Amino acid sequence: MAYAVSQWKVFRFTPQIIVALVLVALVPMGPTYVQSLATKILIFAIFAMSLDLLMGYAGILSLGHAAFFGVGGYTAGLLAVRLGMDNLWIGLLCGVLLATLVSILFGIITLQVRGIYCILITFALGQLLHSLASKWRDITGGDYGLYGIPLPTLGFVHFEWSAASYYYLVLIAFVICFFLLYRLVKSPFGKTLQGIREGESRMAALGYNTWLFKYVAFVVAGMFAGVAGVLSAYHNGIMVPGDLAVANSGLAMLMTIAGGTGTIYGPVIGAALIIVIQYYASIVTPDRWPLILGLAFVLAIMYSRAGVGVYLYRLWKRML
Amino acid sequence: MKQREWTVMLGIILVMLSLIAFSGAAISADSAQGKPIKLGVLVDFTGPMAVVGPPVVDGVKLRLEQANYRVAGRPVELVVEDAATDASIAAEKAKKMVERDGVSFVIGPVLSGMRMAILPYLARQKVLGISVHGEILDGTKFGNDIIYPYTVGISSLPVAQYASKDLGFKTATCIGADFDAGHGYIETLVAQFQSMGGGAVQKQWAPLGTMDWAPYLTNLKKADCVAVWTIDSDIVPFMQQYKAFGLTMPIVMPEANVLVSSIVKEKGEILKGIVGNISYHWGLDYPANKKFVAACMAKYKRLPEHHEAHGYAGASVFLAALEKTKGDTSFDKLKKAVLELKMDTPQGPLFFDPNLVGRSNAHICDIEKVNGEWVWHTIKTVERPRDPGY
Amino acid sequence: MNTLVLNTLNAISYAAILFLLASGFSLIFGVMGVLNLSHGALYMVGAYVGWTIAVKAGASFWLGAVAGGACAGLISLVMEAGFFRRLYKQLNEQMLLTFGFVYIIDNVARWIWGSTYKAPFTSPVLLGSMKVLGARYPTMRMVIILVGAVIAVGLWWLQDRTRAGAMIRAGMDDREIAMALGINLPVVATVIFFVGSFIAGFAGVVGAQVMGIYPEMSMAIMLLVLAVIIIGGVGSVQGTVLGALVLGAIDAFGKALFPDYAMFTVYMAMVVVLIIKPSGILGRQG
Repeated sequence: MAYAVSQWKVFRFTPQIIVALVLVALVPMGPTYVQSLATKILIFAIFAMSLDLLMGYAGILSLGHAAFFGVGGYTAGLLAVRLGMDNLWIGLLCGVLLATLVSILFGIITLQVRGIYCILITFALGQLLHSLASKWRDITGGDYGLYGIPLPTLGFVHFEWSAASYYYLVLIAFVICFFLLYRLVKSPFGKTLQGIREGESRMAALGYNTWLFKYVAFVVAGMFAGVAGVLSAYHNGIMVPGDLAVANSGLAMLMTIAGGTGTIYGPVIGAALIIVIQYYASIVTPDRWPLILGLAFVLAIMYSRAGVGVYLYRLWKRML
Repeated sequence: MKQREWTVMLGIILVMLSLIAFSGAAISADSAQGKPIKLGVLVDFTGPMAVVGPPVVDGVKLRLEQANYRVAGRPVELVVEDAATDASIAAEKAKKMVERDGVSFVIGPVLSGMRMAILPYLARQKVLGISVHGEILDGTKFGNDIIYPYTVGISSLPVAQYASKDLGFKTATCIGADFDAGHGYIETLVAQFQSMGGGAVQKQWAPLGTMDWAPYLTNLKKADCVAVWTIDSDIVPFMQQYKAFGLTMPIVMPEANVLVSSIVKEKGEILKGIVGNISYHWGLDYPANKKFVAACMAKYKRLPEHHEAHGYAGASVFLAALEKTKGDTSFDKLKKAVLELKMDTPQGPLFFDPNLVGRSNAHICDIEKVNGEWVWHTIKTVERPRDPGY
Repeated sequence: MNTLVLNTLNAISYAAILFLLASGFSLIFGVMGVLNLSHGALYMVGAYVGWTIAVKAGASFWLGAVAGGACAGLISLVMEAGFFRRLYKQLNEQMLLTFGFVYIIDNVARWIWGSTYKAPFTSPVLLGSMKVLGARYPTMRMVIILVGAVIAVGLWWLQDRTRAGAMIRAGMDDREIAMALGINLPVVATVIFFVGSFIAGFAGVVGAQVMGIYPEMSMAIMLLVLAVIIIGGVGSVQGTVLGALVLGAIDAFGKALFPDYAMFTVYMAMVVVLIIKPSGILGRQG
């Protein structure tokens, strides 16, 4: 038996190595639209992970998370388009800052309630921002969107972007975000959050300021959503009011739930799956692909209740 | 047990790898004789604009079929993708079309915002794009945007002029859809009225999807006419409720293509009284249109709407330009060829001004019963209107 | 005075439609703890079925309305038996599942009925206007108000005045004890789901007199429903009526007084209510 185990030992890291190889080496070698798709997946992965912090750890359900994504993106976009400030660092800083400010405000409002009411409040707040983005035509470009957002400059060095190099940038951002969020949820803070999610009154009885923990989680989640928004603005070159709408929040929520809440890696897989299925299904059948996607959701829920990401992860663990 | 899980895991990794590999090497633009020229159509099959996609593709296919899918001795291949009324999805598909399929010309996307997102990329890749739906002038700055069939200004101005000069209306109470196109259409009309010494007594803006017009109708002020612009699903309830409220002011629409012939046929009784600008309806009296309508009936067993007609015209521009360049798909030659085109489309004669803005005819129409059916009826044809914003 | 009467009637008729939309959803969520985000899609399916019967086949409008309701109800039974039974109070899973249903139902509806807009239709008897308090007002809208009122009264009577209603309210408050008391909750739940979805489909046809039918409706309707229950509160007929009236009033008078900010006022109102009383004006706590 010991002999057999050591034989398998060499395979323990193979899946991780393969994934890393694909992400770092293979994707950039393909045509640029592959990098573009991969960039989109990573951006949504950051967005979905941030939502997981909120839903899977703090237990706050949100149908308005796209508000922070949108605020981050629009800020970076407005700086670039209206003020000519297309420096990446400034864009990121201001975008995340504004997203954080909005989440500081929205957090106070949202945390008055629980459960379905959280869903309702976050939905209302998100839609409020959406209608604002739509109405403030002079600033945001209204429903045509804020277009013409250039790829950002790096400031200290003159750099010509290619799809592959922007992909690397987003990949680095993703790895950093993943690492930070992962450490956060594994930390005492994260464990406390989970305790609150399981039984808030119990934690309160133990002397924890449960409101504060949830609030901090809300704000941090908003911050990371802002990061995703900024990266998205540069990637697409356009921000539309729809980026703030409940449809976008709903999409992130689907990615998080389908991938597996409360895991941080789950939403990443959820994002990849949904975007890839949507992309390839729509090539195969341009008008029937939503049907395929809907069926995928239904199947995912009925057969892997904890999430497809979790299922895959357990599969992987069982093989080692 | 381990065996099966291994297989699953490996299968997943293999799928990932093959998806990326299968995505294929980039195909570079090639004008070698005999190699197919690819036309990309990026329109919406899902999402709010889904009603536009299929008929546009039908129009394109009709034209390509008439040319036997050949131009200048080379075969033509059609690549159709769904833009899903989503800028980022449209961007992904555009990249796939250009890099994997190697298209030299793209029809669509139809929404101006989405075009603005994609045109810079297409310009970098040296690919021309045509819109086949109402557009905005901003696209001209990219240098590869073929604006057709009209801009907001090109559509509004003839109607505004007809209303103020021919019909003598001085004042208008305006109701517009509360987004950029709505504001654009109404403001152009108001500007025209103002230039004639009149103006708007009131402007009301309704969000898209307004089904209940009662509040707006209740507060309507009196004027020479009601200038209205919104999308089809909102106009029909509007007219129904307008009449139910017993209101009688004439209705002017700066752009009425949203009311397609099939809706007019069904709801003509309710819609009667609208005077608007129609870029295309199947009753237009051009020889090119008569042929087009016959071909559409023969192939699809239905009368064409403006979507099919504009798709048809878009494909015609593509083919005509390539005939001129003798099959050369390089950007500069193609663009020059488009600028030199003088064509007859089902919408009327068409040419492009130096900024690639399409100039065709506008038709001021009202709704009448002809041979027992409600149809758009051309009152006046305005030739090659220009955009006042120029 | 005329304007006031008209605006008030507008508010009430719009509220009637909103009430019909939201009452089914509130009922289902209150009793079964199921957040059925595909409620709007059921509304749309009902409308399409009603259209097929009333417009395409030229039959009676009200037959179409009932058929629409029945169709929506049938679909809901499939949903309930196949899926919801296993997901009681698991909000996450319900959201993913019902989102999936929306995608599926939307796309299948497009497949069957196409993407073109279906203009509003009604019974020929209801065309035209009638005199109400000195103003001319469309007959069809008065009928909508009537239908809304009848259903509201009916549901209220069911909720407050019948044994069945008492069972439902017991189930809402505490599922375990209700079951322990011998109330056959699974059957009650199924019936409620059917009734709630029937109302949705029926409302689809009634509302189509004003709105017509278009494929993107499902989500738009869903947003309106959420707005109504945010303001009025979940779980009681009174709450849904109140929420619908408030929203109707904001819509009608908001458009009259602040025409540029219609949608904005609605969302602001939602946020304000949520801040003051998060469970809605008449909502049941928790």
